[in-house]
Amino acid sequence: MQSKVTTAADLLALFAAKATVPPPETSQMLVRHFQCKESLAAAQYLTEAMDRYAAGSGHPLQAPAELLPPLG
Amino acid sequence: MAPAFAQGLPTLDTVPTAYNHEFRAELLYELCAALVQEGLGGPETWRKCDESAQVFAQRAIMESIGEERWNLLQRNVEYHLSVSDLAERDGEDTLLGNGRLAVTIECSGCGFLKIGPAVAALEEEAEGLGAAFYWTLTYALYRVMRIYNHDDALQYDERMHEYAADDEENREQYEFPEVEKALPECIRKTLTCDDHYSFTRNARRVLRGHAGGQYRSWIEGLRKIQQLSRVRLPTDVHFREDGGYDTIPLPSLMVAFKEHDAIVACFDEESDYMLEGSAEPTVDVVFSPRKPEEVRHALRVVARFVALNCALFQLVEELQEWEKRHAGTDLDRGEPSLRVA
Repeated sequence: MQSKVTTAADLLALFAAKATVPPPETSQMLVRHFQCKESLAAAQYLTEAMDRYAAGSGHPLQAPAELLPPLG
Repeated sequence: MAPAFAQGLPTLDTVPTAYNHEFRAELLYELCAALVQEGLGGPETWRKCDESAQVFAQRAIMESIGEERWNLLQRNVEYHLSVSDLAERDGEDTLLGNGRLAVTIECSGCGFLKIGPAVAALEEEAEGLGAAFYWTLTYALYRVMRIYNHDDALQYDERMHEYAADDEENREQYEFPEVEKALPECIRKTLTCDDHYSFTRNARRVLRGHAGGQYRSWIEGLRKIQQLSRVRLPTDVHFREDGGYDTIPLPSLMVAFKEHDAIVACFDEESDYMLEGSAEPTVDVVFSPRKPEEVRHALRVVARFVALNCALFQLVEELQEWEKRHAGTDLDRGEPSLRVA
């Protein structure tokens, strides 16, 4: 592609093509994640939990009561 | 011990562990296209960029500044130019949205102009010429950038007196820089000029009268700075107002009369906390790369700022060279008013 760019018009066409190219398949999941508010919030909670875990000498974190129904 | 249940944990072999995605990358390509359309960067530049649009945009902008001017600025001042789709809003980076970009120039290390010897030499040439040169330069720079000069130092001095007046217990410990005494006589006596219009008109006349004299190169440089400062290039005031910045832009130039005068002392005191808060950028323009007229306006704003700074620092270097050449001669007698002080 690079060798074909000989004029400003070629360059403009190249930039136009690159601007509209969809993300690679391997990154689709990442793109979906960043487009989803819930996913971003979940990632934030997870990061904060990991920080608390790291700061708390590795003690297991207590699960929030509202997420786990009581056993029995 | 019970054997591990093989199907209990999913295998991670097929899960990608590295991702690469550039968000709003289309804005970068639109910027690159806009630069090409305005004649900045071309196929030759692209070939040197290893297919990186970011490097291309950077190189295209740098090429438009030119190596000589780039080096001149590098020698004298520390500016950072950035093009971003984010803007500061109360300390947080916020997306500009609507396909808009902001070009900003921030100063993190100001230049230094020791203007005292030049003012003294001009006054020796003709009474009022040094003051005319100083004030004309000052007002031209005020239009385009923040500078730190006698006025900031006088304000600092005033604040110190106010603090001392409110602090009865430690009043003796306050040090006052005595800025006014450190100013050359020709500047001191023009500090409180009632008729500004008349003064500037007279200053123009005095400078014009000596435009062909031995200091014509300085006066030409000043005239160039003045012309560039008068180009009307309105910018979006909301960008700064909505930014919630702590303070006005950091100074791009410090103007003192001597190497270690009261203005320098005040600057040293004040600069300690200049970087503590967030400062407004020196230049900021919001534009859409899809709108050629907005792109052209943004380029004009940056080009004017670069051109004015180049003219300014050419003058600064010229004055430094002149001072070096005249070290130890009659013209290096220092400012009479400072000797008195």
